[in-house]
Amino acid sequence: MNNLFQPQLIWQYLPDILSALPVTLLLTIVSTLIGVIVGAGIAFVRMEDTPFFKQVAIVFTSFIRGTPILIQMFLVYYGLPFLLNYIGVNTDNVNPLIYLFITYGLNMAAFLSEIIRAALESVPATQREAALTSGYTKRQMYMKIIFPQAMVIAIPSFATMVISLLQDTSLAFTIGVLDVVGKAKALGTATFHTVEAYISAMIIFIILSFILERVFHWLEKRSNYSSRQMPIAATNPVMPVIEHPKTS
Amino acid sequence: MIEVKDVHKSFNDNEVIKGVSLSLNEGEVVTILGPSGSGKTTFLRCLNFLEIADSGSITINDQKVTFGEASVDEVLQLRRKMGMVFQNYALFLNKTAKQNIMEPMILVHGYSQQQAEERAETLLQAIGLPEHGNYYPSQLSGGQKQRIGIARALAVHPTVLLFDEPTAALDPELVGEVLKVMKAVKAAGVAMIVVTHEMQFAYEVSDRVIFMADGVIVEEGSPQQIFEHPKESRTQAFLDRFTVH
Repeated sequence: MNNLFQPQLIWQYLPDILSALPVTLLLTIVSTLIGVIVGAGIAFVRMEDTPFFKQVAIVFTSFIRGTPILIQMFLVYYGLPFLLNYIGVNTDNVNPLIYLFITYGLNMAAFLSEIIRAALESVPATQREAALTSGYTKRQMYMKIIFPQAMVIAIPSFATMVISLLQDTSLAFTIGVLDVVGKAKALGTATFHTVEAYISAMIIFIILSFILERVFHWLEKRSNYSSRQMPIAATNPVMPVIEHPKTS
Repeated sequence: MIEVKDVHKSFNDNEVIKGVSLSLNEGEVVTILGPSGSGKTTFLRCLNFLEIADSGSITINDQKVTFGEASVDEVLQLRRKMGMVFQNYALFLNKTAKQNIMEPMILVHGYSQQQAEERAETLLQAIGLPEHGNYYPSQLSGGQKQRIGIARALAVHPTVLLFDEPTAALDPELVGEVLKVMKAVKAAGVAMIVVTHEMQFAYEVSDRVIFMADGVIVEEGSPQQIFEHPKESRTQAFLDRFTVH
């Protein structure tokens, strides 16, 4: 009766599968970081119309978005070492996690770049002009005016992307990395209680996603300046007198 | 004090500014009138490099900048001598009214937090919004936003203020409060170049009126000359549509 469904195993397996959680989290966090940095770069290059780089960015984005992540992973995992060996770099001791960081990081970058670009472009152009005519440098304009507003707009889509990345990391086991799913698969195969092990992994993913959702929701509420309410006060009908002492 | 010489600007093959020159004395208010598409807004935007003019030059105080040859740094220096007020206010939506006024002072012109705060409060008082410093733009009316916009531009002691149809997006009942503030700016002795369709304002407040059409200055003179005795037939035709006496 060994292969009957035994619910208590779900809880018994949990600690063991949880031991692989750091790998899943590391994958998600590092890939998100790479995604944000490279993605912001791509968005920036596209917005500022940088010649050549803009074309590269467009091709890259449409390639990543047009192919399944599993194929990208195999391409990086099998293709990259081949290329590196070809130019004489030894890849024997490279941790497979590195290939996953590259795959998921670049994948995130492509998707995030579009989210970032849309968010940057949704900040009204007149505010750029107002910043520039006020004498802001481009850097000051982005840091003080554009980014803070774009961030608020981007948070909901960004949250969706991070949570979906978390789920996507479950493909890591296909190249032999023991993340949460890899661990569950290994346990299931060893004990023939595959379903219990996967349910265990499922519970971990549900709880993680829920936590992420709450965190982003909190962030969104916290950073949204337009939802801060204040009653509109009446205008004082004063005849203005402006003192304008000369500075120079 | 401000000397703009022979500005030309084309969009593709379409020349929209065909050699416009303009000089302005300290504290002088010049109004630019003209039909839509006459190039008046483009001309204004060329002055602070929101559009890059093809040729011509601008001199403010001692700084001369040639369009088309200016370095990033020169443009920055030039812009810091001018303020601009926009048709749609262009307030920074992530900042309160007071922060809108203070940030350029601190970030660009090196005022201390305290200096900036004092000046912002004085200006808020002057434009009749002393209680509104902590409001975000989304909580203010159009007229209030535009008055904050003027205060922001004025706060850093610019040599000249550029107004791009400052009342065009406002409900008629709110136009008055903005024009009042603009009159106060003139009274404070700040030079202004105003692109507007407010004939009453042009007549009452400006020292000089320029009538532009098809990218050139058709006629230029005192408000009395332009409104009461226009010489050019195009000016007459344009003004006939407004009943100003």
